[in-house]
Amino acid sequence: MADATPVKSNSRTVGRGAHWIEWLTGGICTLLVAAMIGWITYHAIVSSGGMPQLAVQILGQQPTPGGGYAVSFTIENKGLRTAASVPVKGDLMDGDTVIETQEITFDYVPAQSAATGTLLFRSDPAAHDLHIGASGYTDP
Amino acid sequence: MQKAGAAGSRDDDDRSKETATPAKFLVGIGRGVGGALLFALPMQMTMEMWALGFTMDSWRLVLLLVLAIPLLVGISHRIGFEETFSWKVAVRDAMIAYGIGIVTSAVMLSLFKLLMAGMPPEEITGKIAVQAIPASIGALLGRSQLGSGKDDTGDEQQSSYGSELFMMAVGALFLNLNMAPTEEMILIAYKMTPWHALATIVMSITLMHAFVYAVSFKGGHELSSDTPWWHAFIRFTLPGYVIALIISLYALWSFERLDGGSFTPAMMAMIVLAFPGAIGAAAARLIL
Repeated sequence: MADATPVKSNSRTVGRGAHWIEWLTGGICTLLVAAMIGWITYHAIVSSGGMPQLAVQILGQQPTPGGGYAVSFTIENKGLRTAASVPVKGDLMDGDTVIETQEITFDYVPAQSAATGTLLFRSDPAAHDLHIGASGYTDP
Repeated sequence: MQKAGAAGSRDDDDRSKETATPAKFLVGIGRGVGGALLFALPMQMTMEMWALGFTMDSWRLVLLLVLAIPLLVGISHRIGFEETFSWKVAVRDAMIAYGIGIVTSAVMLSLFKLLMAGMPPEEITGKIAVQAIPASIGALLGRSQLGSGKDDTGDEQQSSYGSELFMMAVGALFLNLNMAPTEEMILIAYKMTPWHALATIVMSITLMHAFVYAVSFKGGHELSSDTPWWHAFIRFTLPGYVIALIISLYALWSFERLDGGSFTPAMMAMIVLAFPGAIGAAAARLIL
């Protein structure tokens, strides 16, 4: 190792002389940290005053062994802020009458991310109108 | 790095000491158990860690368990149960530490009634495996740090650049394993605005540098008088911080804290977790 001066003491001394690989590592790391700071700064300027934008999309349904029906969906947050404790409600409607309601809560739907979940119904969703949507959120 | 010439004689010396006093070996094991308890109890008493044993993706757990082996061998070679001068001894000590980690985790989890006979075998092995890694690191550190003064000879050697970075990685990993499983890491990341994240980055780097060079703890490093401060900053502090960031990202990914999230929230969580990681990395340079 082309290391620093061979001082014999309890604390290690950083000398002037260093192997080129130390400078290369240091240089790459400086660039990485600078890039990260740059990205966060850009994000800070862009995201100020944003709010969560939640959208639910149904992925599909299949019968469960217990005789019910599982409807899986994704909930996407297109906004720049994270939503917490997001209740997602699924209503099976026949005209104006609600036949069945099921609800689950997502702990978090992070900004610009998606989470998946499944609602379990007793009646067949294919035979009725199915509405799934987020009914609110809290700020984390 | 030790040179082969000196290694041979001291290695023989070591071996004769061991055969002469098996009691010494038992004391070492005892210190290992002490270290494992000291370092791993916070995790053994964390709810998220119990759940990880069976919710964690099996391949990620396997990867973590396999990566732990070279890590333990590296730590053992650097600080070891005793001064280890050959890789063979380092591997042996690493495996003993791994064993201590597994056994103490199993005992502690049973004591807390988290392991019961009726549980499926995957759950039992998973729960123990997740805990065994921090416990085995603790066993190695405990055996060297709780030991008597004779280990101090290791401090006088000039550490190579690589081993300096390695010790920073160990320090960062150690604090990260404690914190990455908890929900608070992502919760803090979600609460923060990007400006808070920027402040956290600046704080992490400043504290890291100050810990090692400015406030001159015992074992602190000094700059020789003709070296400008930014030499050490570029060569050691920034690489150390990047190591802390990478280890944070790995820990978060391993414990499934990033799944479904996009780039920016993941980066924020990484910055949050890298803060304790940076402190751990700086402390490792001082202590180990």
